Amino acid sequence: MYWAELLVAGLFVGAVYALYGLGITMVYKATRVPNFAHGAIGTVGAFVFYKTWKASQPRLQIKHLHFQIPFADSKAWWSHWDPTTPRLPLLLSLVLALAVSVVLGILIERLFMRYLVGAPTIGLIVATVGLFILITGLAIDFFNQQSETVPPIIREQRYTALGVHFFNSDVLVAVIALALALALGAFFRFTSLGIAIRATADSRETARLLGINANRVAQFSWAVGSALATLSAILIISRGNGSLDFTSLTLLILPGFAAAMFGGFISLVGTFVGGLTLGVAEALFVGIRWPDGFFREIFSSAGVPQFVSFMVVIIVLMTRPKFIFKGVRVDEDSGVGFGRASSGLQPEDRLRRALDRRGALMLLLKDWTTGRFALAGMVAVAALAVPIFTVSYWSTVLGAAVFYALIALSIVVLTGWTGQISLAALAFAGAGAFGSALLSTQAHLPPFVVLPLCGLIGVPLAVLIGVPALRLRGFFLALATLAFMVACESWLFTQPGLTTRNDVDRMFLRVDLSQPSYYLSLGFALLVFLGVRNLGKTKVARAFHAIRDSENTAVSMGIDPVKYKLLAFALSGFIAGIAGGSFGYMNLKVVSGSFTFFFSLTFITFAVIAGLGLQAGAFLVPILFVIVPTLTARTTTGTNQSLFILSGYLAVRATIDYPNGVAAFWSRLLRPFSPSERVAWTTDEAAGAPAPEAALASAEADEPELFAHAAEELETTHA
Amino acid sequence: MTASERDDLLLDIRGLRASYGAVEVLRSIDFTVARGEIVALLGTNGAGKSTILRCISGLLRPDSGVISFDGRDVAGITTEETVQLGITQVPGGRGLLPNLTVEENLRMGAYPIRKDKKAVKAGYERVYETFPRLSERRRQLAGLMSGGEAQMLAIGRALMLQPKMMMIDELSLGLAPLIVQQLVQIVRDINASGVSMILVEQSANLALSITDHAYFIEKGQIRFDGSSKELLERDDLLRSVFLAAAH
Repeated sequence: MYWAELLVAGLFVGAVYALYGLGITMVYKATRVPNFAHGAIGTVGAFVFYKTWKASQPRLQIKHLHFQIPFADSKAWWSHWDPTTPRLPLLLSLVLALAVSVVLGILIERLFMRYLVGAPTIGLIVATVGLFILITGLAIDFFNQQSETVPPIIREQRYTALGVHFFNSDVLVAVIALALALALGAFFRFTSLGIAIRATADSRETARLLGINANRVAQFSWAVGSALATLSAILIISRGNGSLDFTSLTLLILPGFAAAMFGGFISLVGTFVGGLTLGVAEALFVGIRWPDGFFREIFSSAGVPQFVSFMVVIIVLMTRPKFIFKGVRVDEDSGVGFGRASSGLQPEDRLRRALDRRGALMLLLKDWTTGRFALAGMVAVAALAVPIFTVSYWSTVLGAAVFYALIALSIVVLTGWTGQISLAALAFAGAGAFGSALLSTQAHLPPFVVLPLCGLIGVPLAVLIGVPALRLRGFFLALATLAFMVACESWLFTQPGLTTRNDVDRMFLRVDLSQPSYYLSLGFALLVFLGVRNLGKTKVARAFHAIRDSENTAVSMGIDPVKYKLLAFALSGFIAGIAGGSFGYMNLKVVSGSFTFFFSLTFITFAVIAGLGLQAGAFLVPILFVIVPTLTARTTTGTNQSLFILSGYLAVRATIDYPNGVAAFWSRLLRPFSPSERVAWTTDEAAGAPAPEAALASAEADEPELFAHAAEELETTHA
Repeated sequence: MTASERDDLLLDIRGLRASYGAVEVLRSIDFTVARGEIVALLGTNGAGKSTILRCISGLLRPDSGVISFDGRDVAGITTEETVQLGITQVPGGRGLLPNLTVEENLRMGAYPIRKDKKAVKAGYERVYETFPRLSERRRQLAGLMSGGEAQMLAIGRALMLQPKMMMIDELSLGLAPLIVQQLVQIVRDINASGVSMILVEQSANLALSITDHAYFIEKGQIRFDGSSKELLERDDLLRSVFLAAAH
């Protein structure tokens, strides 16, 4: 009876997962976009619903919505907008929430995703991750983000059948999920629009030739997907005594993806079954009564469901059952690289030309030969001198900067250099941070021994997630690492064994001052940066780049992908582990809240904006996202989301317009001048005449394939 | 068809220029199709043949030039509109929707007239009559068909709309000679039923044997515009390009 009860409970939880998964499958099926922003869209809809529904408690019914313009003077009348919240009946609230999410979905397609058609998978992932952060940031600014309990949508009633208890709301969710799965399945199978959506996903160009408006089809899919997200978020909260908060709702993205994975991201009924399977697996696993000892200890903390999700995701992706992945290519070779090739002059070339016309380019380049050292010297002096002459606060800020730089570097090595998209950078860092607490307090090791050891703690963890990476590429790797990150955040870092031993002992570095710890971190970071810089000139880095650009070609050239992929993961884990160690020494107390998957995703956007492919990008991340915000931010009441809003938005824009990032722009702008450039500039000017390289290509063999990409770009701008 | 009969033009292209990004692919193309005629468009790989089709179908916006179809200027209009006007295309490399069934592929061929159930039904009947093989394989995934069947499906799909003009990109590519013969007969029949056609080919002999008028395009420019018989004798043009195909 105990197990039957668990089974039923698991089925009902699984229905919730299935609902989330349906929306993800919907968008993926239609547009091939893995929508990481799905949870955020649903959360916005749920907030709209519960903030406007008149049955919500008065406490939830805030009178005004607050919206503040980031970085603005909070007293100015134009900087904030406080509309009065309406109080609506259930149905109107629901319609309003659905309408908001539909508009949101259409906006996402129209403003961003339309320009990413045909982009590599990694670009799509970064773009939707950016959207996730952008939407969440805006929503937290807009709504009160505190966790609230909400009233049930229907009057809760408890039933008993065959000795198993359940609520009517559970049944409602399960029935709606099943009905939606069947209805959507029928829609895709029998209606013209449904088939047209599948046709567009199959071949966009062929679909357009048949008279299908591909953009409108994508827009429709985003609208429906977003409405599904909202509907599921509302239903999920309404079950039992649900609570309305951002963290728990956005965390559902993992079980949502896992459920969609069971359907191969194609089958809606498969998604439904997958959600149920996952729910049952979680419930049964949580229900196991472990005998006293190790297992009892590690599986008694919260977050066991997330651990199960992770295991399920890994097992399914590793074994790839045929019945799930029949039409899906899990090992797609595309989606590894990030940059896009395009003919003609790049923006930095245009800027060089403009500077040259004013006679400034040569001057600038000449100055830069010495100026770069002057700039580096200034940064070095600032990094060394500021802590001495200022209060402890500034060394904390600079310590955070070191942490950001190291995390960004670990992402650059793994994703930028080797093309392995990992969303779990902070999992390795968290392991390093907890390691620094254990090693310094329990083992009484001195800091300069602890920090390298923290790096070594990150290595096995990174290799552990690197093993699936040997078989997974692109989106599926991202999914595996996301599952890993969530499992670490919710399960590993909340282990009582860690949370009760989370103090860091600075030993001979003074406890009351953060300066000595900062200098220590800075020293280690410098060593790591120099080491990676040297590595960048060896055959190892060349092998990394080769694997990134085309794994198949790399293999054909005799590069062992197993060795180099694992090496990249190990290196990335080592760097992030050291970052975590320095975090421990700077903050003295390590908590799981510092290493969340949301924060980990934010780092991806930081790295992309600053420049994913270059080490200089890792150096820019702390300047752009720690130093500048600290210097410019005004003291505001409450949390300031502007950093997330800006970085999310910029990450999406960067993916569309300039995926190489700020560092690449900078280094390309200031590269040494070659006389042939002027020829290129003048030819480009001659009334849209082709640039020399391009002209050559067209004279020799204008293969349409050569320009397929350019044509795609043109097509999107044209339509 | 004699030259004088080519006066009743269905498609009239003047001074068409088009480019991909900074690369100019078509340099002032003049190209016409008379009502009820099959025109061959020949040229090497990358000469710009498919680009002309892309411009006609609206997938690519031309830089300049006039494309008039049935008396209407269609340069720069969207693909949906060109399909509505009665221009259908059999895309190169089959261009099927592999994860859709045969019947779903045909249904997508009738997408612009999906509201008109009768016309769609008539379309199915027309196609299944022309290609009985497709009727046997209605429920099969298009991606699992042989090359010949796939080409039949592509042509059948373009027939669903009762088009005024059909553009076939590479009819014979990668197909066995026997199947090509069958397809040629079908193409002739379709043409005889009043559908004008543009046949883009690399196999000159095949194209010139079933057409009256031919264009030869090289490096984005029309090098020959005349009767197909005449082009067959122009060894200087053909041999340089179709060494293998022209004997």
